[in-house]
Amino acid sequence: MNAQFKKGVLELCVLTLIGRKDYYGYELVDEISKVLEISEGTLYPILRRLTEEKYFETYLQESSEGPPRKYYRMTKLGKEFQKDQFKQWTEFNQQIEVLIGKEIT
Amino acid sequence: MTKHEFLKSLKAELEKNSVRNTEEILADYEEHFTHGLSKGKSEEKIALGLGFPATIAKAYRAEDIVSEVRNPETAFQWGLAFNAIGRLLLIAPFNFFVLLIPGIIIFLILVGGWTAALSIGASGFAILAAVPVLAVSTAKMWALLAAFSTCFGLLGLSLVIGMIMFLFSKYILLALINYLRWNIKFVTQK
Repeated sequence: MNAQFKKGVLELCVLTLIGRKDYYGYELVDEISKVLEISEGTLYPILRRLTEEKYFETYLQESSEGPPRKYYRMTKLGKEFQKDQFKQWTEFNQQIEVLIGKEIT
Repeated sequence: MTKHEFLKSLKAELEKNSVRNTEEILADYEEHFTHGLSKGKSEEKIALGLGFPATIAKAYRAEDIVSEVRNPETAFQWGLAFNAIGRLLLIAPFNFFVLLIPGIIIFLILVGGWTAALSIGASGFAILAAVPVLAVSTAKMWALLAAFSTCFGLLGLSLVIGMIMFLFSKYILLALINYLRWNIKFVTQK
């Protein structure tokens, strides 16, 4: 997929996934890169910014297997932001559909 | 690239792009490597999946710029200042009218209480000072006893009122400080 497309949507994907449940970095990267072909390293910058903007909180949790995990949890502010971004995304899609249509021509 | 090479290269690139909190970022990637290794991936494969350190560092730089654009502090502050002034104007009449009457009453109680405590104490001491004079002029036992008991009674009363006033003043002062804090919080909140 076009790299420019991905960039804009990635943030929404991260927001939506963490909105559903708490993820630790590796797990989230794994989940997204299963579907989207991305440089995994570029997800961490997004995670950091969204955390700095208070959309996520982080906490450390020990695990029986492997090292302690840095989990990301959505804040109330993050939930609002996610809803807003999701709305914008659907509206944008509809507008583009009006312009170029759904079918391959 | 091995884990060590990747982290070293990333550190250099982050510093080149003057990205903040380098240590924290590197810790995230170190954790990523550790998790990948525990899932049985090789260091090379993990590094390959992550992408080029230079690209990652540029992504951090870009994200820094995005958050600067989203939270433009200079543009924000005018709104904030107007907001604070508005709240100040809102709270000022309340402070003035609503608190004026209780304020005056509390102030009068404070002044009156302390004056009473001090003057009763002072008169007690005055009688105490007069005892030797009394002892010289009249040798009557009952007069001396009366003087002593009045004097100690007055001093005791003064101490009791003083203690009450001390506690009262302390709580009033604490309440005042809390109230001022709340005022400041109310005015400066976003």
